[in-house]
Amino acid sequence: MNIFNNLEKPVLLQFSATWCGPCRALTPVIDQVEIKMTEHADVKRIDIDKQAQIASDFSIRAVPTLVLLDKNGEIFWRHTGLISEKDIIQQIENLK
Amino acid sequence: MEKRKCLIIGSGPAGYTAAIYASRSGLNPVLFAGLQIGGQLITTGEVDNFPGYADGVRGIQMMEDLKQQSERFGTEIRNSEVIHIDFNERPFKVTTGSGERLLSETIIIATGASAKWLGLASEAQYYGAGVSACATCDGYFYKDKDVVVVGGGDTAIEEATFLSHLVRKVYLLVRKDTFKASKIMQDRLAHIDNVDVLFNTELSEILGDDHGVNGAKIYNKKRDKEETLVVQGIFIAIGHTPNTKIFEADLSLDNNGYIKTIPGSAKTNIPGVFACGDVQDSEYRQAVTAAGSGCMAAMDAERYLSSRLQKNGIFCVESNINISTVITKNGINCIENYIND
Ligand SMILES: Cc1cc2nc3c(=O)[nH]c(=O)nc-3n(C[C@H](O)[C@H](O)[C@H](O)COP(=O)(O)OP(=O)(O)OC[C@H]3O[C@@H](n4cnc5c(N)ncnc54)[C@H](O)[C@@H]3O)c2cc1C
Repeated sequence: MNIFNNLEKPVLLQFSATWCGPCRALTPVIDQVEIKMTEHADVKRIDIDKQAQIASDFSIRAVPTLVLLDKNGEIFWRHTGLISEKDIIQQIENLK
Repeated sequence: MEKRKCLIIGSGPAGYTAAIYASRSGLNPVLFAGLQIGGQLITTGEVDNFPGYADGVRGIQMMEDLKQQSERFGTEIRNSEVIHIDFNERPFKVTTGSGERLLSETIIIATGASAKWLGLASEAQYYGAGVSACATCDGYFYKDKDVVVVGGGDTAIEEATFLSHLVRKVYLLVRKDTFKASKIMQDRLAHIDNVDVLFNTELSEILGDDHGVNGAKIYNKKRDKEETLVVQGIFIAIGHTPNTKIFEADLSLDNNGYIKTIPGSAKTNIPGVFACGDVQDSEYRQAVTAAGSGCMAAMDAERYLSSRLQKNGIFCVESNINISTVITKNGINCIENYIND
Protein backbone atom coordinates (compact mmCIF):
# COMPACT_ATOMS: atom_id res chain seq x y z
CA MET A 1 0.00 0.00 0.00
CA ASN A 2 2.82 2.20 0.76
CA ILE A 3 3.43 5.55 -0.67
CA PHE A 4 4.31 6.29 2.93
CA ASN A 5 7.66 4.74 3.70
CA ASN A 6 11.09 6.10 4.55
CA LEU A 7 9.46 9.01 6.20
CA GLU A 8 11.34 11.84 7.83
CA LYS A 9 8.82 11.99 10.61
CA PRO A 10 5.76 10.04 11.62
CA VAL A 11 2.67 10.99 9.63
CA LEU A 12 -0.83 11.60 10.93
CA LEU A 13 -3.39 10.94 8.22
CA GLN A 14 -6.80 12.55 8.63
CA PHE A 15 -9.38 10.87 6.42
CA SER A 16 -12.39 13.07 5.92
CA ALA A 17 -15.07 14.23 3.50
CA THR A 18 -16.71 17.54 2.77
CA TRP A 19 -20.17 16.12 3.51
CA CYS A 20 -19.22 14.75 6.93
CA GLY A 21 -20.15 17.02 9.85
CA PRO A 22 -17.97 15.36 12.49
CA CYS A 23 -15.00 15.70 10.09
CA ARG A 24 -15.49 19.45 10.21
CA ALA A 25 -15.68 19.35 13.99
CA LEU A 26 -12.37 17.49 14.08
CA THR A 27 -10.54 19.85 11.73
CA PRO A 28 -9.75 22.64 14.25
CA VAL A 29 -8.45 19.97 16.63
CA ILE A 30 -6.11 18.63 13.93
CA ASP A 31 -5.06 22.21 13.08
CA GLN A 32 -3.88 22.62 16.67
CA VAL A 33 -2.11 19.26 16.67
CA GLU A 34 -0.34 20.25 13.47
CA ILE A 35 0.86 23.51 15.00
CA LYS A 36 1.93 22.01 18.31
CA MET A 37 3.53 18.84 16.97
CA THR A 38 5.08 20.19 13.78
CA GLU A 39 8.55 19.01 14.83
CA HIS A 40 7.40 15.51 15.59
CA ALA A 41 4.85 14.61 12.94
CA ASP A 42 3.54 15.66 9.56
CA VAL A 43 -0.18 15.97 9.11
CA LYS A 44 -1.76 14.89 5.82
CA ARG A 45 -5.42 15.46 5.13
CA ILE A 46 -7.07 13.04 2.80
CA ASP A 47 -10.39 13.79 1.18
CA ILE A 48 -11.79 10.33 0.55
CA ASP A 49 -13.75 11.52 -2.47
CA LYS A 50 -10.67 12.88 -4.19
CA GLN A 51 -8.18 10.30 -2.96
CA ALA A 52 -10.33 7.20 -2.91
CA GLN A 53 -7.40 4.89 -3.58
CA ILE A 54 -5.54 5.88 -0.42
CA ALA A 55 -8.75 5.52 1.58
CA SER A 56 -9.23 2.06 0.17
CA ASP A 57 -5.55 1.14 0.79
CA PHE A 58 -6.12 1.91 4.43
CA SER A 59 -9.50 0.10 4.49
CA ILE A 60 -11.31 3.24 5.58
CA ARG A 61 -14.99 2.46 6.29
CA ALA A 62 -15.89 5.47 8.40
CA VAL A 63 -14.99 9.13 8.65
CA PRO A 64 -13.42 10.90 10.37
CA THR A 65 -10.66 8.33 10.80
CA LEU A 66 -7.13 9.12 11.93
CA VAL A 67 -4.18 6.87 11.16
CA LEU A 68 -0.78 7.49 12.68
CA LEU A 69 2.15 6.01 10.75
CA ASP A 70 5.62 5.54 12.20
CA LYS A 71 8.72 6.44 10.15
CA ASN A 72 8.62 3.07 8.40
CA GLY A 73 5.10 3.73 7.26
CA GLU A 74 3.67 1.12 9.62
CA ILE A 75 0.34 1.81 11.28
CA PHE A 76 1.03 2.67 14.90
CA TRP A 77 -2.46 3.82 15.87
CA ARG A 78 -5.89 4.20 14.33
CA HIS A 79 -8.98 5.95 15.57
CA THR A 80 -12.48 6.57 14.21
CA GLY A 81 -14.70 9.40 15.44
CA LEU A 82 -14.08 12.54 17.44
CA ILE A 83 -11.15 12.78 19.82
CA SER A 84 -9.40 15.49 21.84
CA GLU A 85 -6.20 17.26 20.91
CA LYS A 86 -4.56 15.93 24.07
CA ASP A 87 -5.27 12.30 23.20
CA ILE A 88 -3.89 12.66 19.67
CA ILE A 89 -0.76 14.38 20.94
CA GLN A 90 -0.33 11.57 23.46
CA GLN A 91 -0.25 9.04 20.63
CA ILE A 92 2.38 11.06 18.76
CA GLU A 93 4.38 11.36 21.99
CA ASN A 94 4.19 7.58 22.39
CA LEU A 95 5.99 7.23 19.07
CA LYS A 96 8.94 9.36 20.05
CA MET B 1 -7.09 33.00 37.21
CA GLU B 2 -9.41 34.03 34.40
CA LYS B 3 -12.81 35.01 35.77
CA ARG B 4 -16.14 35.01 33.93
CA LYS B 5 -19.72 35.89 34.65
CA CYS B 6 -21.10 33.13 32.49
CA LEU B 7 -19.59 29.93 31.14
CA ILE B 8 -21.53 27.75 28.72
CA ILE B 9 -20.71 24.10 28.13
CA GLY B 10 -21.73 22.70 24.76
CA SER B 11 -22.10 23.89 21.18
CA GLY B 12 -25.43 22.40 20.14
CA PRO B 13 -28.60 24.44 19.57
CA ALA B 14 -29.05 24.89 23.36
CA GLY B 15 -25.50 26.11 24.02
CA TYR B 16 -25.38 28.53 21.07
CA THR B 17 -28.83 29.93 21.85
CA ALA B 18 -27.86 30.46 25.50
CA ALA B 19 -24.75 32.22 24.16
CA ILE B 20 -26.79 34.51 21.90
CA TYR B 21 -28.97 35.60 24.82
CA ALA B 22 -26.15 35.78 27.39
CA SER B 23 -23.91 37.85 25.12
CA ARG B 24 -26.75 40.19 24.17
CA SER B 25 -27.45 40.81 27.83
CA GLY B 26 -23.83 41.72 28.50
CA LEU B 27 -22.69 38.60 30.34
CA ASN B 28 -19.68 38.28 28.03
CA PRO B 29 -19.92 34.47 27.95
CA VAL B 30 -17.26 31.95 27.08
CA LEU B 31 -18.53 28.79 25.42
CA PHE B 32 -16.66 25.48 25.49
CA ALA B 33 -17.65 23.59 22.38
CA GLY B 34 -16.46 20.12 23.37
CA LEU B 35 -15.45 17.48 20.87
CA GLN B 36 -18.65 17.52 18.86
CA ILE B 37 -18.55 21.10 17.66
CA GLY B 38 -22.11 21.87 16.55
CA GLY B 39 -23.67 19.03 18.54
CA GLN B 40 -25.79 16.15 17.28
CA LEU B 41 -27.14 17.93 14.23
CA ILE B 42 -23.76 17.78 12.51
CA THR B 43 -24.43 14.07 12.10
CA THR B 44 -27.67 14.52 10.19
CA GLY B 45 -28.44 15.60 6.67
CA GLU B 46 -31.41 17.87 6.27
CA VAL B 47 -33.29 19.55 9.13
CA ASP B 48 -36.84 20.29 8.02
CA ASN B 49 -38.53 21.33 11.22
CA PHE B 50 -36.49 24.20 12.62
CA PRO B 51 -38.61 27.36 12.35
CA GLY B 52 -37.27 30.00 10.00
CA TYR B 53 -35.81 27.74 7.32
CA ALA B 54 -38.72 27.51 4.90
CA ASP B 55 -36.90 25.14 2.56
CA GLY B 56 -35.10 23.12 5.23
CA VAL B 57 -31.42 23.42 5.98
CA ARG B 58 -28.41 21.13 6.25
CA GLY B 59 -27.62 20.33 9.89
CA ILE B 60 -24.03 21.49 9.47
CA GLN B 61 -25.16 24.78 7.96
CA MET B 62 -27.71 25.46 10.66
CA MET B 63 -25.11 24.96 13.37
CA GLU B 64 -22.66 27.22 11.55
CA ASP B 65 -25.39 29.89 11.38
CA LEU B 66 -26.07 29.59 15.12
CA LYS B 67 -22.37 29.80 15.89
CA GLN B 68 -21.98 32.96 13.85
CA GLN B 69 -25.04 34.51 15.45
CA SER B 70 -23.63 33.89 18.93
CA GLU B 71 -20.23 35.29 17.93
CA ARG B 72 -21.84 38.38 16.48
CA PHE B 73 -22.72 39.51 20.00
CA GLY B 74 -19.32 38.73 21.44
CA THR B 75 -19.46 35.12 22.64
CA GLU B 76 -15.98 33.70 22.89
CA ILE B 77 -15.89 30.12 21.65
CA ARG B 78 -13.16 27.69 22.64
CA ASN B 79 -12.78 24.22 21.23
CA SER B 80 -12.04 22.28 24.37
CA GLU B 81 -13.95 20.02 26.70
CA VAL B 82 -14.79 20.75 30.29
CA ILE B 83 -13.51 17.88 32.37
CA HIS B 84 -14.22 19.02 35.92
CA ILE B 85 -16.16 21.63 37.86
CA ASP B 86 -15.75 22.38 41.52
CA PHE B 87 -19.27 23.34 42.55
CA ASN B 88 -18.35 23.76 46.20
CA GLU B 89 -16.49 26.99 45.67
CA ARG B 90 -17.85 30.25 44.35
CA PRO B 91 -17.18 31.34 41.72
CA PHE B 92 -17.29 27.79 40.36
CA LYS B 93 -13.91 26.45 39.35
CA VAL B 94 -13.78 24.92 35.88
CA THR B 95 -11.00 22.76 34.42
CA THR B 96 -10.77 21.94 30.72
CA GLY B 97 -9.19 19.09 28.81
CA SER B 98 -6.50 21.37 27.48
CA GLY B 99 -5.47 22.29 31.01
CA GLU B 100 -7.15 25.70 31.32
CA ARG B 101 -8.59 26.66 34.69
CA LEU B 102 -11.10 29.41 35.07
CA LEU B 103 -13.66 30.76 37.48
CA SER B 104 -17.24 31.51 36.59
CA GLU B 105 -20.14 32.93 38.55
CA THR B 106 -22.73 31.03 36.55
CA ILE B 107 -22.55 27.81 34.56
CA ILE B 108 -24.92 26.86 31.76
CA ILE B 109 -24.82 23.16 30.98
CA ALA B 110 -25.80 22.25 27.42
CA THR B 111 -23.84 19.03 26.96
CA GLY B 112 -26.66 17.25 25.11
CA ALA B 113 -26.71 13.56 24.52
CA SER B 114 -24.64 10.89 22.79
CA ALA B 115 -25.62 7.82 20.82
CA LYS B 116 -26.31 4.72 22.87
CA TRP B 117 -24.63 1.44 22.06
CA LEU B 118 -25.92 -2.09 22.49
CA GLY B 119 -22.89 -3.10 24.53
CA LEU B 120 -21.82 -6.12 22.47
CA ALA B 121 -18.08 -6.73 22.53
CA SER B 122 -18.13 -7.13 18.74
CA GLU B 123 -19.72 -3.68 18.44
CA ALA B 124 -16.66 -2.00 19.95
CA GLN B 125 -14.32 -4.32 18.04
CA TYR B 126 -15.76 -3.33 14.65
CA TYR B 127 -16.49 0.34 15.38
CA GLY B 128 -15.14 2.24 12.38
CA ALA B 129 -14.82 -1.03 10.46
CA GLY B 130 -18.48 -1.61 9.67
CA VAL B 131 -20.19 -0.48 12.87
CA SER B 132 -21.43 3.10 12.96
CA ALA B 133 -23.95 5.42 14.61
CA CYS B 134 -23.90 7.97 11.80
CA ALA B 135 -25.42 7.10 8.44
CA THR B 136 -24.68 10.49 6.91
CA CYS B 137 -21.00 10.07 7.82
CA ASP B 138 -20.48 6.47 6.88
CA GLY B 139 -23.31 5.49 4.49
CA TYR B 140 -21.03 6.40 1.59
CA PHE B 141 -18.90 3.31 2.24
CA TYR B 142 -21.83 0.97 1.68
CA LYS B 143 -22.89 1.86 -1.84
CA ASP B 144 -24.64 -1.15 -3.36
CA LYS B 145 -24.01 -3.23 -0.26
CA ASP B 146 -26.40 -4.62 2.36
CA VAL B 147 -26.66 -3.12 5.83
CA VAL B 148 -28.52 -3.47 9.11
CA VAL B 149 -30.05 -0.59 11.06
CA VAL B 150 -30.97 -1.32 14.68
CA GLY B 151 -33.74 0.66 16.39
CA GLY B 152 -37.43 1.51 16.26
CA GLY B 153 -37.50 5.27 16.84
CA ASP B 154 -37.35 8.35 14.62
CA THR B 155 -33.57 8.24 14.37
CA ALA B 156 -33.58 4.61 13.21
CA ILE B 157 -36.10 5.35 10.44
CA GLU B 158 -34.17 8.44 9.45
CA GLU B 159 -30.95 6.43 9.19
CA ALA B 160 -32.72 3.65 7.26
CA THR B 161 -34.29 6.14 4.85
CA PHE B 162 -31.00 7.89 4.22
CA LEU B 163 -29.18 4.61 3.64
CA SER B 164 -31.91 3.25 1.35
CA HIS B 165 -30.83 5.73 -1.34
CA LEU B 166 -27.26 4.46 -1.27
CA VAL B 167 -27.22 0.80 -0.39
CA ARG B 168 -28.78 -2.26 -2.00
CA LYS B 169 -30.81 -3.37 0.99
CA VAL B 170 -31.49 -2.21 4.54
CA TYR B 171 -32.66 -4.64 7.23
CA LEU B 172 -34.30 -2.55 9.93
CA LEU B 173 -34.31 -4.52 13.19
CA VAL B 174 -37.04 -3.46 15.62
CA ARG B 175 -36.99 -5.13 19.03
CA LYS B 176 -40.70 -4.73 19.72
CA ASP B 177 -43.67 -5.56 17.49
CA THR B 178 -44.32 -1.90 16.69
CA PHE B 179 -42.33 1.24 15.98
CA LYS B 180 -41.68 3.90 18.61
CA ALA B 181 -41.19 6.39 15.78
CA SER B 182 -43.69 9.12 14.94
CA LYS B 183 -46.32 8.47 12.31
CA ILE B 184 -44.80 10.85 9.79
CA MET B 185 -41.50 8.96 9.96
CA GLN B 186 -43.22 5.58 9.65
CA ASP B 187 -45.10 6.84 6.60
CA ARG B 188 -41.80 7.59 4.91
CA LEU B 189 -40.96 3.91 4.86
CA ALA B 190 -44.09 3.10 2.89
CA HIS B 191 -42.54 4.63 -0.23
CA ILE B 192 -39.25 2.78 0.00
CA ASP B 193 -38.95 -0.75 -1.31
CA ASN B 194 -35.42 -1.70 -0.29
CA VAL B 195 -35.99 -1.49 3.47
CA ASP B 196 -37.03 -4.77 5.12
CA VAL B 197 -38.52 -4.17 8.54
CA LEU B 198 -38.00 -7.11 10.90
CA PHE B 199 -40.13 -6.72 14.04
CA ASN B 200 -39.48 -8.65 17.30
CA THR B 201 -35.89 -8.96 16.20
CA GLU B 202 -32.65 -8.24 18.02
CA LEU B 203 -29.08 -8.06 16.89
CA SER B 204 -27.34 -10.75 18.89
CA GLU B 205 -23.84 -10.73 17.40
CA ILE B 206 -21.79 -8.85 14.83
CA LEU B 207 -19.65 -11.06 12.63
CA GLY B 208 -16.50 -10.04 10.84
CA ASP B 209 -12.86 -10.62 9.98
CA ASP B 210 -9.70 -8.55 9.47
CA HIS B 211 -11.46 -6.44 6.84
CA GLY B 212 -14.37 -5.56 9.11
CA VAL B 213 -18.00 -6.57 9.38
CA ASN B 214 -19.35 -9.28 7.11
CA GLY B 215 -22.50 -10.43 8.86
CA ALA B 216 -25.06 -10.07 11.60
CA LYS B 217 -26.57 -12.73 13.80
CA ILE B 218 -30.18 -11.85 14.54
CA TYR B 219 -32.72 -13.38 16.86
CA ASN B 220 -36.48 -13.35 16.40
CA LYS B 221 -38.04 -13.56 19.86
CA LYS B 222 -41.50 -14.43 18.68
CA ARG B 223 -40.40 -17.35 16.56
CA ASP B 224 -37.44 -18.17 18.82
CA LYS B 225 -35.28 -18.34 15.74
CA GLU B 226 -31.71 -17.20 15.11
CA GLU B 227 -30.38 -16.50 11.64
CA THR B 228 -27.41 -14.85 9.97
CA LEU B 229 -27.65 -11.96 7.55
CA VAL B 230 -24.82 -11.26 5.13
CA VAL B 231 -24.24 -7.53 5.56
CA GLN B 232 -21.25 -5.20 5.45
CA GLY B 233 -22.51 -2.40 7.66
CA ILE B 234 -24.32 -2.15 11.00
CA PHE B 235 -25.87 1.16 12.03
CA ILE B 236 -26.93 1.46 15.64
CA ALA B 237 -29.78 3.91 16.28
CA ILE B 238 -31.25 2.89 19.62
CA GLY B 239 -31.44 6.28 21.24
CA HIS B 240 -29.27 8.57 23.28
CA THR B 241 -27.88 8.96 26.78
CA PRO B 242 -27.41 12.39 28.36
CA ASN B 243 -23.83 13.59 28.78
CA THR B 244 -23.88 14.04 32.55
CA LYS B 245 -20.94 11.94 33.73
CA ILE B 246 -18.95 14.89 35.05
CA PHE B 247 -21.95 16.29 36.93
CA GLU B 248 -23.32 13.17 38.58
CA ALA B 249 -21.63 13.75 41.93
CA ASP B 250 -23.11 17.24 42.38
CA LEU B 251 -26.29 17.73 40.40
CA SER B 252 -29.66 16.06 40.90
CA LEU B 253 -30.23 13.63 38.04
CA ASP B 254 -33.25 11.50 37.25
CA ASN B 255 -33.12 7.69 36.97
CA ASN B 256 -31.96 7.87 33.38
CA GLY B 257 -29.19 10.35 34.11
CA TYR B 258 -30.91 13.52 32.84
CA ILE B 259 -30.31 16.69 34.86
CA LYS B 260 -33.37 17.68 36.87
CA THR B 261 -34.47 21.28 36.54
CA ILE B 262 -37.10 23.18 38.45
CA PRO B 263 -40.20 22.92 36.22
CA GLY B 264 -40.72 26.01 34.11
CA SER B 265 -37.09 27.10 34.49
CA ALA B 266 -33.54 26.03 33.66
CA LYS B 267 -32.48 26.02 37.32
CA THR B 268 -30.75 22.99 38.72
CA ASN B 269 -30.42 22.09 42.39
CA ILE B 270 -27.37 24.37 42.64
CA PRO B 271 -28.15 28.09 42.45
CA GLY B 272 -26.13 29.64 39.64
CA VAL B 273 -26.02 26.41 37.64
CA PHE B 274 -28.49 26.06 34.79
CA ALA B 275 -29.20 23.26 32.34
CA CYS B 276 -30.77 23.33 28.89
CA GLY B 277 -31.33 21.16 25.85
CA ASP B 278 -31.23 17.38 25.60
CA VAL B 279 -29.15 17.00 28.75
CA GLN B 280 -32.24 17.85 30.81
CA ASP B 281 -34.99 16.76 28.43
CA SER B 282 -35.90 13.12 27.98
CA GLU B 283 -39.24 14.01 26.45
CA TYR B 284 -38.99 16.31 23.42
CA ARG B 285 -35.33 16.22 22.34
CA GLN B 286 -35.66 18.56 19.39
CA ALA B 287 -33.42 21.33 18.15
CA VAL B 288 -36.11 23.94 18.67
CA THR B 289 -36.89 22.86 22.25
CA ALA B 290 -33.15 22.77 22.98
CA ALA B 291 -32.82 26.30 21.61
CA GLY B 292 -35.87 27.45 23.60
CA SER B 293 -34.48 26.11 26.84
CA GLY B 294 -31.08 27.66 26.00
CA CYS B 295 -32.81 31.02 25.96
CA MET B 296 -34.39 30.23 29.35
CA ALA B 297 -31.03 29.26 30.84
CA ALA B 298 -29.39 32.52 29.76
CA MET B 299 -32.28 34.60 31.08
CA ASP B 300 -32.27 32.68 34.36
CA ALA B 301 -28.50 33.24 34.64
CA GLU B 302 -28.87 36.93 33.97
CA ARG B 303 -31.64 37.27 36.57
CA TYR B 304 -29.67 35.25 39.08
CA LEU B 305 -26.65 37.52 38.69
CA SER B 306 -28.65 40.69 39.01
CA SER B 307 -30.77 39.62 41.97
CA ARG B 308 -28.23 37.87 44.14
CA LEU B 309 -26.38 39.52 46.97
CA GLN B 310 -23.34 38.49 48.89
CA LYS B 311 -23.59 38.79 52.65
CA ASN B 312 -21.23 37.25 55.17
CA GLY B 313 -19.61 35.31 52.35
CA ILE B 314 -22.88 33.67 51.32
CA PHE B 315 -24.46 34.35 47.97
CA CYS B 316 -28.19 34.69 48.31
CA VAL B 317 -31.08 35.49 46.08
CA GLU B 318 -32.95 38.17 47.99
CA SER B 319 -36.25 38.36 46.25
CA ASN B 320 -38.69 35.63 47.06
CA ILE B 321 -39.18 33.49 44.02
CA ASN B 322 -41.98 31.06 44.68
CA ILE B 323 -40.55 28.13 42.74
CA SER B 324 -37.66 27.86 45.16
CA THR B 325 -37.45 27.34 48.90
CA VAL B 326 -36.36 30.13 51.19
CA ILE B 327 -33.86 29.02 53.78
CA THR B 328 -32.07 31.09 56.36
CA LYS B 329 -28.31 31.10 56.62
CA ASN B 330 -26.61 33.36 59.18
CA GLY B 331 -29.76 35.41 59.44
CA ILE B 332 -30.01 35.97 55.69
CA ASN B 333 -32.90 34.66 53.66
CA CYS B 334 -31.48 32.60 50.84
CA ILE B 335 -33.13 30.89 47.96
CA GLU B 336 -32.22 27.25 47.81
CA ASN B 337 -33.16 25.39 44.69
CA TYR B 338 -35.12 22.41 45.79
CA ILE B 339 -36.26 19.80 43.35
CA ASN B 340 -38.94 17.30 44.27
CA ASP B 341 -38.09 13.68 43.73
C1 LIG C 1 -29.31 11.82 13.45
C2 LIG C 1 -30.11 12.86 14.18
C3 LIG C 1 -31.05 13.62 13.50
C4 LIG C 1 -31.80 14.60 14.17
N1 LIG C 1 -32.69 15.34 13.44
C5 LIG C 1 -33.38 16.32 14.06
C6 LIG C 1 -34.27 17.15 13.32
O1 LIG C 1 -34.44 16.98 12.10
N2 LIG C 1 -34.92 18.14 13.98
C7 LIG C 1 -34.76 18.35 15.32
O2 LIG C 1 -35.35 19.29 15.86
N3 LIG C 1 -33.93 17.58 16.04
C8 LIG C 1 -33.24 16.57 15.45
N4 LIG C 1 -32.40 15.78 16.19
C9 LIG C 1 -32.28 16.03 17.64
C10 LIG C 1 -31.39 17.24 17.89
O3 LIG C 1 -30.16 17.01 17.26
C11 LIG C 1 -31.17 17.45 19.38
O4 LIG C 1 -32.40 17.58 20.03
C12 LIG C 1 -30.36 18.71 19.64
O5 LIG C 1 -29.14 18.66 18.92
C13 LIG C 1 -30.07 18.88 21.12
O6 LIG C 1 -29.30 20.02 21.27
P1 LIG C 1 -28.37 20.29 22.53
O7 LIG C 1 -27.80 21.63 22.34
O8 LIG C 1 -29.13 20.02 23.77
O9 LIG C 1 -27.24 19.17 22.51
P2 LIG C 1 -26.30 18.51 21.39
O10 LIG C 1 -26.70 18.87 20.04
O11 LIG C 1 -26.24 17.07 21.78
O12 LIG C 1 -24.89 19.19 21.71
C14 LIG C 1 -24.17 18.90 22.87
C15 LIG C 1 -22.90 19.70 22.86
O13 LIG C 1 -22.23 19.54 24.11
C16 LIG C 1 -20.85 19.36 23.89
N5 LIG C 1 -20.30 18.69 25.07
C17 LIG C 1 -20.64 17.50 25.63
N6 LIG C 1 -19.87 17.26 26.71
C18 LIG C 1 -19.05 18.33 26.85
C19 LIG C 1 -18.02 18.68 27.78
N7 LIG C 1 -17.69 17.89 28.80
N8 LIG C 1 -17.37 19.86 27.62
C20 LIG C 1 -17.69 20.71 26.58
N9 LIG C 1 -18.67 20.42 25.68
C21 LIG C 1 -19.32 19.24 25.82
C22 LIG C 1 -20.76 18.59 22.60
O14 LIG C 1 -19.48 18.77 21.99
C23 LIG C 1 -21.88 19.25 21.80
O15 LIG C 1 -21.38 20.40 21.19
C24 LIG C 1 -31.62 14.80 15.56
C25 LIG C 1 -30.68 14.03 16.25
C26 LIG C 1 -29.92 13.07 15.58
C27 LIG C 1 -28.90 12.27 16.34
